[in-house]
Amino acid sequence: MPGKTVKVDRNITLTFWEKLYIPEIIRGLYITTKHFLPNFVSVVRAYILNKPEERKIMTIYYPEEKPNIPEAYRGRPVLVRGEDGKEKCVACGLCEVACPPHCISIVGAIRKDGTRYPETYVLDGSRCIFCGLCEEACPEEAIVMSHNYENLTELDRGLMIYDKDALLVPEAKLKERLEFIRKRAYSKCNY
Amino acid sequence: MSEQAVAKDMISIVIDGKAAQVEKGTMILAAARSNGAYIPTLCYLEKLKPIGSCRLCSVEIEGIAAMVMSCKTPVAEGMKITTDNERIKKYRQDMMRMILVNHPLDCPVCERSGECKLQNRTFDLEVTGHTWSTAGFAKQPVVDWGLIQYDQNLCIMCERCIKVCREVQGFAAYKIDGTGYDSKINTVTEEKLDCDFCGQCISVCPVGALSSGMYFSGRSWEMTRTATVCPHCAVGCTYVMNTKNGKIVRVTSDDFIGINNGNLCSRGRFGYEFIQNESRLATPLVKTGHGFKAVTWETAIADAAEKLAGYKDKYGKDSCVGIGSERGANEDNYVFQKFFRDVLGSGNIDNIANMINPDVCSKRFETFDDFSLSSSYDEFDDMELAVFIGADGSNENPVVSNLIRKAGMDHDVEVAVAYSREGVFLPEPRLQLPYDYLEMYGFTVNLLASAIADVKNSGAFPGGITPDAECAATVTKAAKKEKLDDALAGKIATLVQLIRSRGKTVFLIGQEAQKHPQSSAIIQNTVNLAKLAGGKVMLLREYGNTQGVNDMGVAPNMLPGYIAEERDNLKAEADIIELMESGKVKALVILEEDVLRRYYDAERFRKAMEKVEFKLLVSQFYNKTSPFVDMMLPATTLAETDGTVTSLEGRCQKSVKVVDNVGQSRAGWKIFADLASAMGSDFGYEQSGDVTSEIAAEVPLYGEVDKGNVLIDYSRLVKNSPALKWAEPPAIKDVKSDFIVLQDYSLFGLGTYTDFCPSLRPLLGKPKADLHLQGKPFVELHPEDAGTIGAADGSLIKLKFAEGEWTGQLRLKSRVKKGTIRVPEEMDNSRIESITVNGSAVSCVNLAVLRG
Ligand code: SF4
Ligand code: SF4
Ligand code: SF4
Ligand code: SF4
Ligand code: SF4
Ligand code: FES
Repeated sequence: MPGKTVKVDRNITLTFWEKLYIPEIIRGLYITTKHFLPNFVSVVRAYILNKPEERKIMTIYYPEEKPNIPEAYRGRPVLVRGEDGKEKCVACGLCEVACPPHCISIVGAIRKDGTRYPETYVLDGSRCIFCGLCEEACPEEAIVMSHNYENLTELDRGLMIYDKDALLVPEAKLKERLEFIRKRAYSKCNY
Repeated sequence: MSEQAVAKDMISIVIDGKAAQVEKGTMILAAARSNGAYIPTLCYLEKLKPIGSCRLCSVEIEGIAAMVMSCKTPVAEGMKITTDNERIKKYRQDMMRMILVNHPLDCPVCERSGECKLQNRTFDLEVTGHTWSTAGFAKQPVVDWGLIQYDQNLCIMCERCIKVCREVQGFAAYKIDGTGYDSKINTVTEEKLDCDFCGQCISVCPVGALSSGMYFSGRSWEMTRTATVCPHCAVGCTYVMNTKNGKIVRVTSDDFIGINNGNLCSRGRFGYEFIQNESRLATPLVKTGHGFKAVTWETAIADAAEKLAGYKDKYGKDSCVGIGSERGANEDNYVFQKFFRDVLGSGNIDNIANMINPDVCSKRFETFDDFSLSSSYDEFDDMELAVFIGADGSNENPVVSNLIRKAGMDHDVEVAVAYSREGVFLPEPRLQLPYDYLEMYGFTVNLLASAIADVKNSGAFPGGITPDAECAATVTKAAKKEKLDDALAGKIATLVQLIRSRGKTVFLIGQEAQKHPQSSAIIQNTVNLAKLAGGKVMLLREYGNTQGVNDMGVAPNMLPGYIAEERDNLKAEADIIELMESGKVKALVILEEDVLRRYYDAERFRKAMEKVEFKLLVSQFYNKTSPFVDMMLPATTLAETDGTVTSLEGRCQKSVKVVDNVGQSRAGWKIFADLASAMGSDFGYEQSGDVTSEIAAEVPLYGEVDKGNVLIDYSRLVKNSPALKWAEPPAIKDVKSDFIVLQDYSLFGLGTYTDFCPSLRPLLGKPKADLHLQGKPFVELHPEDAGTIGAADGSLIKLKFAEGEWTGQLRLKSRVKKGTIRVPEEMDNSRIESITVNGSAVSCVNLAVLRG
């Protein structure tokens, strides 16, 4: 079946006023000033009165101040360390196969008691696209997207390759995210 | 068959509203599938008889209220079949929910995940949740069944394992234990599993309930699968190497490729660890005052080439001898012989099988005159009787036995086994004819005489010939001289009647017959019998390329393709060892063989080696011959190089490169091409394919090998005469001893390769389950013999070898023939110097003495 051609109106013909150029510059300056002045006045006023809480926040003082991360935010993927101190991961390899840029590689092994675990688990942070598919694929809630977005870049790609030690985070610290994926994201409650 | 007869066998049915013609007796499932309908199945397996345990294949038939299992219901005239509708779907889903009711959600840690039939069918049938529930159970998996592990929790009781073990392997190791939800698979003996460890049950288990103890760290979808040829024995099974990141992690099988119908033996399925073993030779090694020193390839090749060229110039063309490989590819052997003939100008090359018995190797087509000798597995298609002569088929070439059993599933096949002990074929064959080893010739000549007498009395066998009177008289006279005990004579008569009553007979000749001092006469008798019976003869072969090494002309006076070598200056003196002993030989080159392990008179060979100045061994491992050589060059195994190997039926199959070369090892053909170019003749090979093409161009027999797998047609070499040929046996050496030491073949070991398979090692020395107790090797003796030497079950027995001693226990078995002592595979019988039982020496003789 041949594709249907859809005509899109790209609106590239300029109106008379737009063609005049000057009025558009004035309009642009007006928008800038509209945002700049109230912000400027509010900041200076708060400084003079020493009442920072009255500042109308348009930006934050990063890194001294940190933004509030919404639950659904996908930061660096991390492995969950269970309450028994062992990784929850069973080396099933589903994240490995789900990961679009192939940044995960796992070598599985078996413990004396017959349970399986990843002998090595390597996640190449320089290739990760923070898509969250690994988290979605994992049947064990063993890998989750944390809220960690800081210090993820390095001048050397080699330093961005995380091994198990760099990835493991205690379960307690990931409660919120685990809660979220259970209830909201992937309805994993039936596992 | 006339067209009418064909039409008579066809019946008309209606599948999903479409009329179809199918053969009578077809199951509904097969009929539906061949007409394009999809029916899900779980327990059904093409190579087994229908089981009917899962009911997923249920269909509706007009006029029948209940659902019908399509896998085990044959079609009937006018049947109207519906393969899918809402009711059927609901029914199948319910069946699936029932199977799943206590199946744990262990997919993430289950070895089968990704290739699991249960996963796939659950997905196909869109079963998404539970309707019922039961009290779940968590049983401990069984981990002490040797190479097999069983997890009851995962088992869906489909019974495939039970059936494959019984029908295909003939072992019948499993049964169902318990009932209802508590039912599980158990061994028939209810003890630890002690079986062939062929792994057939693992390969058919649809779920992960059966797995091998050799845990692999990968998951099904991470495997790179390469189908290639098993390097161990000569059956030529195709198996699938599973590699992950360049490492071999397991071997699987495929029911639909190769000759083996998805069957493998323990060596094929579990014997892959030698390939990437850390004991593999990694660099060329040169002997120094104390041990070996690693050198570079350049040094080694230059050094060896200089030495060989020096001997050739100084001592003439015959100063170098070579031994080719029964395990190396045809390419390796071809270049090896070309190097010897064209570069060194020496025709003194041989291979070990040919050194042991040239009549069945390079002189096979001269010695025996019947074309039926070169039979392929296709002969099994219409075979009705299989007779093993001197063959422990199930242990020498295990999958041949599987193929015979398979033929028996399609149509009725009887099996008769003539071997020096009973119980080597399972299930219990129709007839067992245990002969005394020394009387083996007498047995065959009596069998032939009895057949001739039967032809005289009741006319020719169907499809067979009538012998001429003169030959008949000679055979009858010769048979009279050989006295057999009454029991065996009676069994011979039964066998003759069996041959008469059955259709085509295939005679399979094994190693015991091929290595017997009177081998040629024994085999000729069998060939004659086959002519009388209108049957076929198949020579079993020991190693992966025993056939190919001879086809490639690695034998004295025989060019590739069994062309007599006519250049007179090359006339080889047949016996390499004699040449070596005479001191004329200055250099010995061995290609991928452990001569001191395999040649029956190892001591003689070792002494002969001492007379040779320069000994070069091309090998994968440091083996028994290694301490006595001057230089070792590391060779690849078949898994690291492309090449071809020829199986016992003469099928030349491609073996594919699966993994990278281990260490600096090089393929055999490359090594000899390198040596040749260092000596000034460039063979011009870039890759192994060039050698294959040259073989196809130069060796008439192998004309098509560069195009893929071919069945070599040996018929042009055979003088095909219908008349019987009489062969006088050489007198057997008069041995004055009470016992003959005979070695049993082992399923778990064959030559050097399996020595380096740690998973198979513990099983070695276990030719059959009943030989062993808790995995310890036993020496076997007939109970009556025990009395005469004052021994009892469990007595201590001491075997003394040239290189040491071994103490074990004696086990009394009535299945062993009187007058024989049976030692397990790894107790090489030709090396046994003396045996003492309970401290007193037993007078015994071993094979080397009998031959020598
Ligand atoms: S977030 Fe996406 S890219 Fe990153 S590791 Fe997971 S699957 Fe791979
Ligand atoms: S999917 Fe989860 S359990 Fe499986 S390997 Fe990845 S992290 Fe481990
Ligand atoms: S390994 Fe082979 S012989 Fe042993 S139980 Fe399984 S199928 Fe039977
Ligand atoms: S062990 Fe496997 S093959 Fe045997 S009954 Fe259970 S599921 Fe079927
Ligand atoms: S029968 Fe021979 S070729 Fe087949 S798997 Fe066993 S050892 Fe390999
Ligand atoms: S496939 Fe027919 S019952 Fe299982």
